[in-house]
Amino acid sequence: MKQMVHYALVLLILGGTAGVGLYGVNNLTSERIAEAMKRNLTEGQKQLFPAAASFDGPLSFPLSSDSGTYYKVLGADNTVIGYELDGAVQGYQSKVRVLTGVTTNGVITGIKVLEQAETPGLGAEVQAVPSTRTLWSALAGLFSEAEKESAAALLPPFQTQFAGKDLGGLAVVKQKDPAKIEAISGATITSEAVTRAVREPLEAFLAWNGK
Amino acid sequence: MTTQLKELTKGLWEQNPIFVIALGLCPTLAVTTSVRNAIGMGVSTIFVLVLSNVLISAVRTIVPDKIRIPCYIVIIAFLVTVVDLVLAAYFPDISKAIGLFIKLIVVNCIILGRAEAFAAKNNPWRSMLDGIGMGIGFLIALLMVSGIREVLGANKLFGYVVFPGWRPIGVMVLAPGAFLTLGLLLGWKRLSELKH
Amino acid sequence: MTITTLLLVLLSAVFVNNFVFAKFLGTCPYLGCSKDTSSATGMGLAVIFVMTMTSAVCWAVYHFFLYPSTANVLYLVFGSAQAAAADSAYIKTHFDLTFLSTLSFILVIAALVQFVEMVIQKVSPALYSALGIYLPLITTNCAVLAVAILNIDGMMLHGTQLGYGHSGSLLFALMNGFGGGVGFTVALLLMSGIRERLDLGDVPRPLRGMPIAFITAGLLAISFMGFLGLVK
Repeated sequence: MKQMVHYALVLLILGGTAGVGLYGVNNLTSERIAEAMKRNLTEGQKQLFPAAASFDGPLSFPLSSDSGTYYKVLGADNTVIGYELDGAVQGYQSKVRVLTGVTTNGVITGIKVLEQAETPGLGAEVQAVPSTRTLWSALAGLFSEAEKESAAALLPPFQTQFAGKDLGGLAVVKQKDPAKIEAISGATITSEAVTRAVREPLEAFLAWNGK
Repeated sequence: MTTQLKELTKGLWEQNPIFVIALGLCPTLAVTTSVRNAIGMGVSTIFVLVLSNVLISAVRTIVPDKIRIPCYIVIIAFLVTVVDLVLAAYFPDISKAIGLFIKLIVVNCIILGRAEAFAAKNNPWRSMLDGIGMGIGFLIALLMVSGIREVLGANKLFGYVVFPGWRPIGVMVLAPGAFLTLGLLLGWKRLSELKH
Repeated sequence: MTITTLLLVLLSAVFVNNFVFAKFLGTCPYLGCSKDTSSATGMGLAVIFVMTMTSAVCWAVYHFFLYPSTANVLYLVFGSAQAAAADSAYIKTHFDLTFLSTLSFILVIAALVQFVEMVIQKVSPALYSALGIYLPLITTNCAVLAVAILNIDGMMLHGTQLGYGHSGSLLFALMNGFGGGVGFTVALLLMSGIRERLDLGDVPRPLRGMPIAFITAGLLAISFMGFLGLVK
């Protein structure tokens, strides 16, 4: 009995110390974590509507018996110039979260994949920017800043396909078709997932907003 | 001095945790899709391994023998959560890509294995050396597997194209490629030993 | 939540997202316990049992103690409803203990394994002699901890987001845990059958043992890729 109390005491002290320690670490890091997540979102918001003056949100709309999240995009004179929808679906091996910009007429201005942890080289290519730079040129010109900047300014071609389309164009095909979304070869499931993360909230939102 | 040096270097190759003892296979297979992820995982594991070895070795006389495993697990889980939070705060990209496997360092057999086999019997200084050696050995193994998989499977290294115009073998970055690469690497290590 | 949805979750956990072949979880016991079919069966059954239990208990711990919501026990005991009504962020800022999930989950698993071991020993000595030696190993089986963590992520996506509420997310977690365990057992049994035959084959010397087991697992994983796209 005495031994049991001893054991329990040791475990309790150890667990308590660990808990308090983690509380401290959590307090130190939580602000930065929230900040990093917010920065990712605000960068995306600006990218989809460069002309926007401010964003109103997060607001919610009904989405398949639950609710989805959207933002109102406000122009310089505080008129609504569009909306941004925040949608997530299950991809090949991770949650795929996409921000979709849409004008008041229902035309997509662009999308940005906010979160994904798909297979590098396949699914993760939805976020890849084409680069002619090889390992060798990178090793040779490691410090060429201008080149680095030009690469950073490019948008992932898979995501730029969405710009200018409306609900009807959101279907994944395997051949080149400018009216539809061309899948990344070898990563059909991720391509489908991104498209669904755009289409499903958009469909529900337009039906709800049209009323 | 020589024995201390040995504690440090034995983990690098002779007793490499992956290739020889075959511990900690899950992260080796899962995060080696790219060299970047492998480095993130390797460094996180080294951090946890070294500190857990030191802490466990420091409390080894206080902790009753019967409940030592739960006590070790609490210490390890504490360290892992610290790494997890720090990565999420300062390296959000890596954290998103391998977040689950960072949490799973708790049950990485290397950590608990070294705690039981080494730290519970040796002083903190030696335990630290052992942790550093084993950790670097783990990182080396991760780098080898991820280098092969990223080049063959995605034709890239650190995200840069390696052979312009060559179409990569996609299956190498998927699950089967991981098993095949590790199997062949183990066989290769065995072959070099058999020749001696 | 309809039966079909649940069956799909189960099917996808067993085949499409097989813990060993698609997610690389539980690889150590997978290779360690697949040398013969009888130990593979024992390990498999023990894992199914513990994974299902873990899913349920960790779900409860997360929902009622760690996650900041009106169902949080700590909030119900120490919180003030007035403050929550006045400030919508009140619960989130004061009762968010999700950073303790990893620590509490692994403790739950360790305690659960110990508990299951004691119960089986008392209730059925025959079952204990069959499963006994595998139970302690399960604490460090990363598939068990992973299923608890994945359930949290999954709940946000499958349970509550689809509008099934709390009971739906619990059912989802149970199905995922049970299916994950079954998938692990399927992988283990397949592998042990192959390895029993491999022992009789003429394998090149450097590849004997672990290396050939890995290569076999790789080929099995290729065949499991055929299930991709079966469940959306």
